[in-house]
Amino acid sequence: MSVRATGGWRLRKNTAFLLMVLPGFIWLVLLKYLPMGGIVLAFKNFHFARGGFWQSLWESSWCGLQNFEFLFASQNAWIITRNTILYNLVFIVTGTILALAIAVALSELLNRRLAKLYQTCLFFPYFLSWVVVGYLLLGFLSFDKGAVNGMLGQFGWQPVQWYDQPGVWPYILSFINLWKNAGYNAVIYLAAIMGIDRQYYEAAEIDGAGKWQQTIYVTLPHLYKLIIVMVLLAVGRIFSADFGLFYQVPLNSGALYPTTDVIDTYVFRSLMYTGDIGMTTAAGLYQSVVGFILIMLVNKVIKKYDRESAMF
Amino acid sequence: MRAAGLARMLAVLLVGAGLLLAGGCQPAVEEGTPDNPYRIVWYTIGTPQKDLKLVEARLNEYLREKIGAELDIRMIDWANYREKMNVVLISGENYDLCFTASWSNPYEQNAMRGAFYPLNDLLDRYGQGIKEALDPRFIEGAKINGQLYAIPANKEIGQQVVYRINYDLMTKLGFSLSDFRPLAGPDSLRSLAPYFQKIREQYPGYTPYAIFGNMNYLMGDMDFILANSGLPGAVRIEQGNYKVFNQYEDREFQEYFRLYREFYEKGYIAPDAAQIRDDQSIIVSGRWGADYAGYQPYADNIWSAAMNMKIVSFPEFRPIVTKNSVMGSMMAISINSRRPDIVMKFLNLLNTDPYVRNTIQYGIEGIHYQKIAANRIEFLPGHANYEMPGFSLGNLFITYLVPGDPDDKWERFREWNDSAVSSQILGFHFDHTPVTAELAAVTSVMNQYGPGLFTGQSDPGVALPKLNQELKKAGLDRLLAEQQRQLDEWVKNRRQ
Repeated sequence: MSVRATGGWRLRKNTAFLLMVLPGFIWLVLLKYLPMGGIVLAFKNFHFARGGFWQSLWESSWCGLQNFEFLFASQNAWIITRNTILYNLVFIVTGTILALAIAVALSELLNRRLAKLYQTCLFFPYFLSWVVVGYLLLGFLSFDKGAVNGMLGQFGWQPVQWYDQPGVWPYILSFINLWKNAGYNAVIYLAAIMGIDRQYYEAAEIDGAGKWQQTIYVTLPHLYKLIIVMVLLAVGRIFSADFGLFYQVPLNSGALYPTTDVIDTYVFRSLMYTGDIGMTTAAGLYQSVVGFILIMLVNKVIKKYDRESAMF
Repeated sequence: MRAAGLARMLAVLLVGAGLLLAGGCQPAVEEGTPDNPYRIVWYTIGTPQKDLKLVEARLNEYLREKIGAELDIRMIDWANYREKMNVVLISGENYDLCFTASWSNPYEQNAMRGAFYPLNDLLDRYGQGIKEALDPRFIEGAKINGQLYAIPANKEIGQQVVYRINYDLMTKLGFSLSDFRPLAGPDSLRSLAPYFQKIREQYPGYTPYAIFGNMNYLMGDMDFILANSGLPGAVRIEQGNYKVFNQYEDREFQEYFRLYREFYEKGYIAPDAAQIRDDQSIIVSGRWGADYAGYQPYADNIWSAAMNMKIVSFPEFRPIVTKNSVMGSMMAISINSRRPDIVMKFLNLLNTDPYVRNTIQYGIEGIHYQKIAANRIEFLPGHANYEMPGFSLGNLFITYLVPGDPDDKWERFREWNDSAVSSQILGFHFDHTPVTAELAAVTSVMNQYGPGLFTGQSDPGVALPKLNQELKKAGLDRLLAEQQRQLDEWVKNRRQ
């Protein structure tokens, strides 16, 4: 049998699966690959021309790396890069641990009905928009009407202008991020736990393993690969931040920028006046390229220690 | 076999998508006649109205006969307009006409990037009526390097900051308008302090001075190069002095921040004002003492009606015609419009023909309003389905008077416009492309320090030196030097 024939046989055998992939594939090509042509914008001084987008793009003059300058020219370059990476590292570590803990706890609940209720409650914040979350938080942290300052007042303490205290915001933002996203990630892990054969647990129980030992020696090893995939995906986005979390939740308060300004919010704010599409494209390209490099690096490291678990 | 079919299907899909993105071509037909009218696609700002299509159809009957055109009006809500128009412009959509201003779908930035059709020739050929109707300063002020890219709406031409007072509260506390000092700059604001103090003492739940962290209103005796942004770069109003300076280092300008701080510390300003950019709930509740706003003749009546409480006001400065004020509401023709000549004919009608102008603003007679005099209308219940923002739809001076409007409204507008002094840099538009990186960094610094300063949350003694130091690091000197260079060139060219 020639190689070609093998390929054809494989295709025929997998037609059903390929058809299932097709919509996603078309979506990927249309919305993720075709727009990549727009990367050219990052190197052009965009100018409108009669005849639509492609004509404008064609006629715009090249400008080298000029569109990237604003990202590095300011003294903020270091702060926003540091903030973006540190927040994402904290989010990856705490988010993974908490999501795993929730998933394990939910899977051990004997009352399925209650488990579903808890799951829904934990899942719910994921569907709130950041604007709503921002104002919910204001309800707690408002200087004169907030619940927190109200409580401080009861103990006879001075009220605090929370939106003027950059030091506390790394904790607040990390907490809010966990509260909003942990439930969602937990569902993914929970689904994987449900797929583990119960016989492992029965065998472990017969060997005298308690709940804790079952978790450590049965559940986690089964989730190991999934965790690596999830972490790898998150690492690829380490240079991009959740815009809503860092813009809406601190209410875009200027005094907090030292600890809340990340690449995405900086780009949005600094281009508010000029609205230059070439510069926004440049920023996006920069984030993607660094994310790509990081994914490759981390994958390589994983490959070195555990060939089987690497993504590619 | 099936795999090949699959591949073919994919290929067709991709090519199809490519064509869609590239934008299909349309065959050329003779357009612009009553039988084959040209369809004018018009994007405008405001909450979409239920009866828009109904009014549009009525107008189209008239426009088909008159200029061989039809309207296809697309309204986009206030908050989304800027972003949606950005997408429309960049995608190169074939629209014809759009609302533009200094504060949304920004005129200067878009015109300089070539998004709008140059109008000088079209205006001469099809827009004679516009030239006669508008105060010439509107057109001169909006021209960029001698070329006009949008038609400003004929309305109040100047900008004048006034302090608005909650009348009932003022009289209850024993004050009258004569207790405050008009036309005195920062001293006008200071004259409100005793009133604020009384509110604080007798109505603790009230906000005496209801301002928020916006950076664009406060004016001083100067005009700003980057209009409506709060960004550094200012020139004095007085004639002959073209020195560009950073207003945040200006003594008089700084005086406002000291006042804001004093007011903040005494509890006259809401403690969260810097974070809450715009809170209408305080204004609507009536639990406030004063704020500031841009004035136009009889504005007190409009405000009183809109807020359902009596409002009086006194000015901080005389009215000044700045490029910001002439760019308050404009209409531009797209660079991609296939028939800019017909669109200009429509703009001419919109600015001169009372039937077209009033139908677009007030709807259909007998459904949305009824006439009670030659120039005055009353609203019918149908009005609720058609409430358009009049200022964004062209010449206001030919619109009907509505209940509450005095008979001499438009005469007073003309008088007020005539009394307004022109800024000496009216008509100068800054091209930011040589300093984009600096401008981005400066914008970011202003966003960090501005809201705190403009609400008194930050101590100007600390924050102002810090701000100016950070601005310098961000490239302020290069930004100001470029502004000065372009301004000098503009002054030189104008003298010739």
